[in-house]
Amino acid sequence: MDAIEIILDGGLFSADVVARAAHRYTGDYYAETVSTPAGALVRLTPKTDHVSTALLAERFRNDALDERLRERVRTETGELHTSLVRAALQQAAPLLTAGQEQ
Amino acid sequence: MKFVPQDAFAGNTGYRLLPLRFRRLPWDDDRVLVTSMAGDWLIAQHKDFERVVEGKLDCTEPLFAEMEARHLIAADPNHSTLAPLLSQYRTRKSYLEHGPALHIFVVSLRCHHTCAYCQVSRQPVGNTIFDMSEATAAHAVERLFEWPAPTLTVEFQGGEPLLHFVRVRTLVEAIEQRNRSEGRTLRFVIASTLHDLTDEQLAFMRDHQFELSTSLDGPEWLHNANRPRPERDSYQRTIEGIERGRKALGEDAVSALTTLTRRSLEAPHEIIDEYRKLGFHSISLRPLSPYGFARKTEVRNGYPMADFLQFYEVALDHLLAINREGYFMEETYGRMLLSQLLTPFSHGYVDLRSPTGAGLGAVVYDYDGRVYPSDEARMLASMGDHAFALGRVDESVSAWLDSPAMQRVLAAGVAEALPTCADCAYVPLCGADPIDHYARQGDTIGHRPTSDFCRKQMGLFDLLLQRWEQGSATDQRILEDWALRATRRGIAREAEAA
Repeated sequence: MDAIEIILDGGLFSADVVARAAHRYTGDYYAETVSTPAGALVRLTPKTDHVSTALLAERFRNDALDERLRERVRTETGELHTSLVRAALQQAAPLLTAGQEQ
Repeated sequence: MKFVPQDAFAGNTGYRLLPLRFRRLPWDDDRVLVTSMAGDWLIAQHKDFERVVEGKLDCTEPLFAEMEARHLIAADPNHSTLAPLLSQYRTRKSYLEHGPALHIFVVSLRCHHTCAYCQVSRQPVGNTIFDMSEATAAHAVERLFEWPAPTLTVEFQGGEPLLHFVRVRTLVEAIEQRNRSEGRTLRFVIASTLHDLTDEQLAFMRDHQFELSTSLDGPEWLHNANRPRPERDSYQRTIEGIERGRKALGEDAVSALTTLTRRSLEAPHEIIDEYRKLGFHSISLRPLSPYGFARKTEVRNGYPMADFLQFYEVALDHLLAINREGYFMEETYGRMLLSQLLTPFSHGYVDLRSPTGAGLGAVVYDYDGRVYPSDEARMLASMGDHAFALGRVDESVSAWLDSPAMQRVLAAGVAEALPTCADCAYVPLCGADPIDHYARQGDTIGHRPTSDFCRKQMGLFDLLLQRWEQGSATDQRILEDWALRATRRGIAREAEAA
């Protein structure tokens, strides 16, 4: 089966974003990502004949854009997320006896 | 009198994003489901959501207030508090507070059935070496009360637990004796075929307020094909058992579960109609799991998860039609997912927890004295894989929690930290199942794009959300009723369904 190649602008899409988007396709496709001077090259090869390749490049580009949004949310909220979970669950932490304190 | 302009009331017109996740709706690519870290959510146009992330949402837009109310953004950090979000998160995770409430005692592996999909590798009726000994039972009772849960659900399983009822009896008596000083709330459940149920057994169960959970796979032809006995009368015996159980313990004390084989997938209406005919108001439609004999017979009985989801869609629409006719009937797993979607409350369903319910929500005391964090872990053990044995009943609970098996479960047990799940809009409402992933994929963390667990969860969440969003006012009310009933039943009752 022929692979489908998609090139994404390296200035817009970080390597992490490209890898995350490609990972979502690893159920039905073998995925390869390569950094090239033209940008990030993604090669998707269907694992079986039954896998649809209709609008595959278009779907991938949409997903990459969504991953870019997620990256932006992560960057802005990552630290806050950790602090909030810690604060919320503080009450659920077991009380340590003197001998157990670290 | 003249009103001052609107901008005179606005404080800081900016906002900051709060932790959130999103997913394009499969039935409408232009819209997204956006969820907060505590599982509150809304549906928005994708282009509007992009503006939110880019910091371009204007505080006068209706979406601004909606996103703020659902803790997806915070306006004016000097005047807003995140305390409600923390409270909501704690409420959603409150199942963490008390430790395992569901305690499964496997009193015997013996069974008179020869089901091809048996997940526990049952043993022939005469093989009493597969019965729980008195010494093992005594240790298990000691361990049971080492856990702090104020409500303990004690579920007897097998094999067929009625074949070793003497152990059920001694365990109940020992637990109640010990509870005189402990003061916990106790629930006893027995998972049984209900065949050969004696009057004496029923009297004991009535005295100790047992609930009965049995397997009914649908109409006679299907049940007998799925659950054969040499006499070919499995269906008839089950029906008699249900009737006798209801008579002795009350209508609501008997529930039934359906395990779906490939042939079951062709009969969604017939299965549901059978339950209605028998007066059930609840049905559990469970796909096959990859354990025990079910794995050996997978080629014959198994099917892809996509086929299950197709089946479920037809079944859900049939259930909605039945409810519209005025007969209340719910599907238990759908009810749990709806309660996650439509209410802010916690639940006891072990499969939908993060951190995982394995070992944190449930414990299994096997017939041979080994202890497991879930029924699936003991099913793996019955296939010769003891990877998740926590220890033995004569060891302490703290030793089990420190065991390599438990550490392995915990390391892959937080859904919010798993690859792909970490970004999934459904993760605040979903759970982690490291043992299921190990069983299916050989790895506790697992690979989500090929995970059947993930396909099932996502497929069902999408279906239920779509039916709720696009359904008539009547269908919405029916689905909301399912969700609210789930929360009313409380932690202990839901744990039993796991």
